[in-house]
Amino acid sequence: MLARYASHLSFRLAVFALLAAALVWPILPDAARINEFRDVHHLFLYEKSAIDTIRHFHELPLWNPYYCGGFDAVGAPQTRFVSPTLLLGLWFGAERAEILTVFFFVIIGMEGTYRWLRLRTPDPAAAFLVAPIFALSGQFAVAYFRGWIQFYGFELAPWILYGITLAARRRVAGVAIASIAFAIMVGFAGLFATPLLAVAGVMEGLRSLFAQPRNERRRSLLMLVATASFMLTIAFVRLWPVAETLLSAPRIMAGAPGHLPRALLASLAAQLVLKDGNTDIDGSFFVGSAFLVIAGLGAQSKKGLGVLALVFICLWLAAGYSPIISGFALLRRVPMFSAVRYPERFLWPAMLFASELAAYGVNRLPLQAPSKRWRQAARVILTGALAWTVWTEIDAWKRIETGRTTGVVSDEFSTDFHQARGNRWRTVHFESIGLGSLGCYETHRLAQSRLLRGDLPQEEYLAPNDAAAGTVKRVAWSPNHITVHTSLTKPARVLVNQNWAPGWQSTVGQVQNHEGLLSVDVPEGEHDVTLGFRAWSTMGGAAVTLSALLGLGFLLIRGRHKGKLFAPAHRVGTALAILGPWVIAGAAYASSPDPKWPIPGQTNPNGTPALVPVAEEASITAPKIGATYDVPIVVEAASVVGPDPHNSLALELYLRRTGTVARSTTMFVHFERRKDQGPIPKEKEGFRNADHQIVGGSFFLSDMPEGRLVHDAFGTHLGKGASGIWDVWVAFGHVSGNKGRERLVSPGTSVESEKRVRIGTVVLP
Amino acid sequence: MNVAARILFVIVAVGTVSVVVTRAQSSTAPAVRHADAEERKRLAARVAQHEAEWNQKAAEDFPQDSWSQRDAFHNLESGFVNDVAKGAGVGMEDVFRGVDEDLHEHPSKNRNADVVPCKPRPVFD
Repeated sequence: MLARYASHLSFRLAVFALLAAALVWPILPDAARINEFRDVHHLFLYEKSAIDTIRHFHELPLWNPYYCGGFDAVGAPQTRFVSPTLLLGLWFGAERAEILTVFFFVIIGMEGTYRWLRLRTPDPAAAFLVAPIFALSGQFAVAYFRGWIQFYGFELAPWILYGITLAARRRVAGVAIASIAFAIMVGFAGLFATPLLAVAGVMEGLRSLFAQPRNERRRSLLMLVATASFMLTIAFVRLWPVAETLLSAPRIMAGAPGHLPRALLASLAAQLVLKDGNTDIDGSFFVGSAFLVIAGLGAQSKKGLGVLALVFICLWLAAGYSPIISGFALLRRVPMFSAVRYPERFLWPAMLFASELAAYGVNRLPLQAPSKRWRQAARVILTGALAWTVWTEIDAWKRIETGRTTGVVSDEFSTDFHQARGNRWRTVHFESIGLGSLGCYETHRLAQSRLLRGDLPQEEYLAPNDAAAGTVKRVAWSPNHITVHTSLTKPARVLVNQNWAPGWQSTVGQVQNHEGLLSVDVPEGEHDVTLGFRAWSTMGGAAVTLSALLGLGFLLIRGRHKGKLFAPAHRVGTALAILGPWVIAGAAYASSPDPKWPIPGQTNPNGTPALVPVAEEASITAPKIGATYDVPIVVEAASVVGPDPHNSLALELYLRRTGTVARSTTMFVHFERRKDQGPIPKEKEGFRNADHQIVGGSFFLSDMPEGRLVHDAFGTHLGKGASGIWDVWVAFGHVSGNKGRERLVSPGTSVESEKRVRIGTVVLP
Repeated sequence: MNVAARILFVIVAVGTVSVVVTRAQSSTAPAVRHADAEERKRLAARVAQHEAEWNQKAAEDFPQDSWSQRDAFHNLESGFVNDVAKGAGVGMEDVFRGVDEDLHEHPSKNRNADVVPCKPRPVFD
């Protein structure tokens, strides 16, 4: 009977809506409040300022001036407004839209999982019972707690897999479903989830392809290629600007995260609880042990074993650097995956594939019972176990979310604007009162001019060299447009207290990048000068997206009326529909009038250059050492200065890579109090380290330009250091695998101890 | 499944969505009292009193790391502003507005009104 109902969309939507309602119900009375978790402040600001830009200024949210001095809003990887959910924000406001977005995405996730499972599960009841498990799993609870609403885009993952399988079965609807779901996910800030999905998508595509009759595989492969093409081109409006941003300021990842099988199991089956105001890995992907058992039992068939292999591949990747041969480490070598973090997120695709096993289990296990009575009993037990799992998932969600700290953002809105010192930890409290927060954080290095200030008398002003040339007065302001009246006795440069970026244009004079600040060279006389932002990458990307949608529409109509898209008679039209957007992309890129981002200088955290110009190598003042390691890296020179009044030391190392260096290479920096100075007081310490893998916070040791002298400047605080003489030692090794220290070939002019070389000695008071 | 059952399920689905949307829409944030210019000045003065101490703490915690020092300063400021706003029964906006007005009235090189470009520490996972 359940099977009969489950196959009807109306029944499923009713049940899924009720489950989603049960999930969000306790949070709804607080829908008007904001989550005060630290990450929320900039993530929520991105959404709120996009909504306010449309509501109050009647402009598209192309430029966000409210954070970090201004940036290309469409090109920021973590903005999520380039998706239909923006309509919820416009209708209900940014605060209330968050919980409604969650509500709708959870329903969509359940329905997508059902449809995807049904492709390989003959029993609609089995697919229906298993479908909610993924959509309600623990990581979605964690995401809402931390304000990572963009992670709900992952509810579209089953839709993408569903579309891929349909495409492999040569159904053009599959191309449309996969590519539109992917575009929404990318527009909803799913950029960092995309690599995970790429892995799952390739696995799904391959298994679907090989499930096709041999004589149809060529056409299936062409359909999959078309799917991949439309996935990229429909998402182009987002992918191009984001690629431009990330290429100009890559995200630096470090570390070698790994999880033992026990930790992965705990993340799937342990209770999700709050510890010290945050969630831990335990229960963070909660699906419950009953689900895991049913999935395990579902693997008892040839078909099930194939899916089990996919689950294990995902688990292997989720284990990170923990296995002897790390799939995650191998994956990170591929450029697209180099910035993938948190390997445990591969539990997401693992859960999806495990859902298929669970559906097999629910379908097949009762059939193995000896009698009808036992079969019914087995069905009741399995249904009860899955219903219990769904209840525990909802319960975990409620428990976590009611533990959030919430606050209130002022409901006023000022259309006047100026930059303030700001505070990235509370940045959402600035926008509504017309202030931009210069206090800034993002996961990638965001281009910020050093000339920005939070205390200027006016935001648009003449450059210091031209200060006597006349006056500048603001006439009108909106996020994308600034109009000033200039009255000049000679040509002058007008500076705007916002960052420059490709895409700014002026109605008078020429826009300039003035040390990262937006500026315009204006001729003498009286002028109304309007600066406007419209990035070519967004406009060009939109053209590609539009042409891809038209091409896809053409294929959908053609597929419905004429059948096979790749039949000889239809090939030209199909090829044009697929390749047309790429031609437009190429033409748009080639004809871009926007200047490129300047290559960012690699700097140390203290602002000094991380690369020494070749001509200046001979003039460095740090004492020469010339120690050679097997890695192969040479420590050419080093200095240790301090302690300063804070008991901190300033260190400078000059390194040269002389051959290929493994990415896992790390530098050990040890601070050791000499042993012949008597005992160390109880509350004091005699050892500290400043080991690091990233030089100057900018690049891996393995990525240092070969042969060039690299300047690594950093500091350490020895506040608890016992008084006396301390030596500073340097060695090299690896962050994973416990391979010990690399061999020191020669200590140069310095002293060696345990494969380390001494780079300095200090005296702590 | 007959038509009546289908209609019933559609009504349940649409009804559930309507109830959720209505409940979310009826949620209201508590009204927050606004501070006047004089009170904002006093609140800002309390923040300014602690800035040197926050700078020192940040310098100790993150030697030779300019962005991290500034970020640590803001973290300490954030907690204090939250406490000050709660204590005064006003929104955090008013405290930050007060600080901004103070900085514009009395520009100073020592009050972090300049920018240390965003250079987050490498992301460890």
